[in-house]
Amino acid sequence: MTNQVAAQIDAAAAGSNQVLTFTLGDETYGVDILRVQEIRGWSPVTRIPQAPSHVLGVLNLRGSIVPIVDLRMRFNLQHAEYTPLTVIIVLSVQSPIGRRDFGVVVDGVSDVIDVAANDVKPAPEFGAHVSTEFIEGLASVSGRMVMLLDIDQLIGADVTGVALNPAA
Amino acid sequence: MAIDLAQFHDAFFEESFEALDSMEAALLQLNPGAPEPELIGTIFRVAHSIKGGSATFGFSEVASFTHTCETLLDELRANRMQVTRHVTDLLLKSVDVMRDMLRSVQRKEAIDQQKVADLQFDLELAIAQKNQPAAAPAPAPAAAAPVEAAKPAAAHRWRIMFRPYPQLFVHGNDPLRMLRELGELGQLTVKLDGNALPALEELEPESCYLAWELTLDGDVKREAISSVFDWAEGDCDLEITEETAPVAAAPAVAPAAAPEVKPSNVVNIADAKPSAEPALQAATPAAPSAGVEAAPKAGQMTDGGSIRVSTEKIDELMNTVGELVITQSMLTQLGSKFSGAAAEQLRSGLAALERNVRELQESVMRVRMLPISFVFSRFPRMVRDLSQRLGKQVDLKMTGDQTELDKTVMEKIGDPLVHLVRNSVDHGIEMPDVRAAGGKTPNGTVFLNAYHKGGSITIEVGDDGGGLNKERILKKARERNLVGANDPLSEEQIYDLIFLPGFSTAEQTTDISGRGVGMDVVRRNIKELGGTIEVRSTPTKGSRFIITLPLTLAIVDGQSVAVGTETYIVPLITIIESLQLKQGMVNRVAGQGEVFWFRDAYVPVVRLHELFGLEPRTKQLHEGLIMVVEGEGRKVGLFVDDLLGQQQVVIKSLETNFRRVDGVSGATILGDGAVALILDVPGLIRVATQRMAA
Repeated sequence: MTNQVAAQIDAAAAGSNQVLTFTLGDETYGVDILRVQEIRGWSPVTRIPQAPSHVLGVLNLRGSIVPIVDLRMRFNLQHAEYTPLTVIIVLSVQSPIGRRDFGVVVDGVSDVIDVAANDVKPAPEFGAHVSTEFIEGLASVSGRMVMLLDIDQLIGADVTGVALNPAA
Repeated sequence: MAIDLAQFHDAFFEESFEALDSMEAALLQLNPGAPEPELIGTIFRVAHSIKGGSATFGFSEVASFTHTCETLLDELRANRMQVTRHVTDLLLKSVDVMRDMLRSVQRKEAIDQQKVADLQFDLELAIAQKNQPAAAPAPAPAAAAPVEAAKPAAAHRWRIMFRPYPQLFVHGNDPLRMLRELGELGQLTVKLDGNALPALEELEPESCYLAWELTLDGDVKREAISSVFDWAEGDCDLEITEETAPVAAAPAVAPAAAPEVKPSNVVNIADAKPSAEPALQAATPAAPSAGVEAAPKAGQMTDGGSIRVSTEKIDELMNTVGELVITQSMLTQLGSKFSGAAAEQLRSGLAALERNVRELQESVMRVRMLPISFVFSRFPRMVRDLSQRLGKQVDLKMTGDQTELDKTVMEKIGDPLVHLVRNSVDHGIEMPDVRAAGGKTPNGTVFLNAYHKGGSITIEVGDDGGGLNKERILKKARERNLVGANDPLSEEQIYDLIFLPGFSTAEQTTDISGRGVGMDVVRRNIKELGGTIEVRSTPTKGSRFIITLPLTLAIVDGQSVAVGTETYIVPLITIIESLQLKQGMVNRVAGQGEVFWFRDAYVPVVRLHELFGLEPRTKQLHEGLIMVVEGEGRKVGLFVDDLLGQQQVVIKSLETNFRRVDGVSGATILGDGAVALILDVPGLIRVATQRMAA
């Protein structure tokens, strides 16, 4: 126990981040834990007219109206049925017009891992048909590859209607 | 220790703007010739505190200008100068200039130096001319004469009882400074009363225990003395009495004048302070603080124990209460499912909760409410300036200015009201000679009236002028093809024409306004707030605009409708009628658009499910319902599956976390916790029209 705490402190000192990992099919993704507001089960959403197809609708999250994005549809993966086990991770994005909260639908949440800064490798270029601009980097954690998402890039423009500056 | 003064700037600006408003209001009440010293005192204090504040923050231009104002006001206060219309005009202009300067400083923009310098020169000129009353454009009223006569006054002996309250120091007052100032006025004899001084171990170093009995000999006016204590008002008992016998030394100064001085002085003060001040003149030891009390009372009107709270905090509170309402209705639904002895208790508990929550919600709503006087307060000045410019004589009568409405509604209703009031002064009220010829008083009246009616507020703007000209409106509308040449129109319908877009005419435009110019904008603004506007007019008697607005923008009365699995809220105010179409009532236009005959026109059908891409329960028009809605003057029949019920809903913005969606004005949370979108009917009609055109 104490060793584990010590290891975490070491990791923090070495410039590491805690990352929440989740799965979509066979793939594992990670987001900065500081961006996670809440993890909740699936409940039906209210549809929004004229929204992109991967924006499923809005939910009532303790009084605020929060849009829900299906990450499978966003990544053009095969659509999965929504079951009571489907999970919504509520994240906050920083956009040019301020903080926005939104939820992403994922298959399941795995665990929180420490990723040291020098473990993160840049994503390779796949050419035009695979877009990697919202992948911050790839990390290898105990034999698994985790794709670290840049959610500001991924969701920002969808949710706010304001294009983000890629350099930002 | 360096303190970052910038953190206080916002508060300074906010307070200064408010203070300028009160200065403006006081100036408008000021009667030339017979000014109320208290009003002058108020005006002086505003100028003084703005000067002090801006000097502290290093806004030297503001400080310099305000200093000139203050000098002029000081002359007025000391009765060395007459309050004439010219002077009030100058001071009103100064208020504008100070406002502009502060605004420029606030936005870190350059100050309009020329304007400031011009006015400053005018002010200085006025101060320099004070000794030549004949030079003033306005004739000095008769009442002013005794004041002048009193000027070469001889010595008086004043007895001043000054008993500060213990908190005097806390408010930044320094008795020593006051005594010193009195000493400059004349021969001062000070007698200290240290009876209240406690033993050393009980002494609070920050409290004032001392009192003074002062005797002041010299050519001093009561106002000069009381002005020394201006800042200590409310922090002390003050009693200023004049010894009846002139001082023995005085006759040497002006022996002949001495006997006359006293009576004329009495006249002067009684003239100037008709109501409250005689008490001070008569000041008896039994009523020690009578004179001092009057001023704080007047001050209370403006800040009746209020605090400043940011609107964000209130919005947060509103949100939380909104949550509570939803949770409570969820619990109530759940509670109805229980049975047994305990269930009855549960239900009565839930009923009590419901009542409390509703009360809480109403109280929070009221926090956002402000009296409409915030909007009305700009009109006295505006009407005064306008009527002066137009050479008309206009009185403004405002009633119900304490009627409260939501701050957001208030912010948006200001401009339309300004427009209506301007119209009334410019076009409604006739010139004095025309009025006289018509057997009216030369003074026209513009009235503003606000009152609550049901869940809404009604604001009336009217005048006793000539009324709308029916023939001219009709002629113009026909010229502009807004109505057919032979359309039979009722009187009401004719007056309504002025609200049509395109009715405005260039030929009418003056630099102030044109009747009809922009009336469509007025109506649009009011509609955007969910309100309505009507006009009533009687030839030669005047016209009246009646505006009805919802009390708040946070809540809307809505009709819930079902389309497929979704629920939408349609604002009740947009709904004209709901009906079921029978087969064969719908006609197709060019094989595409569906229309049906409603009242006296063909109305297009808009299928909400097609517009929003939903799977409806039915696509047969006669199986669902048609809701005839109106937006921006156009009607459509909205095809929905079913009507669910009417309810008040709390409006939440979609833009907080998402973006604007065409045809949707916001969202709300239903009793079961689900989100329902609120339809924006005018936007919906626009989207539908675009689709049809595409």
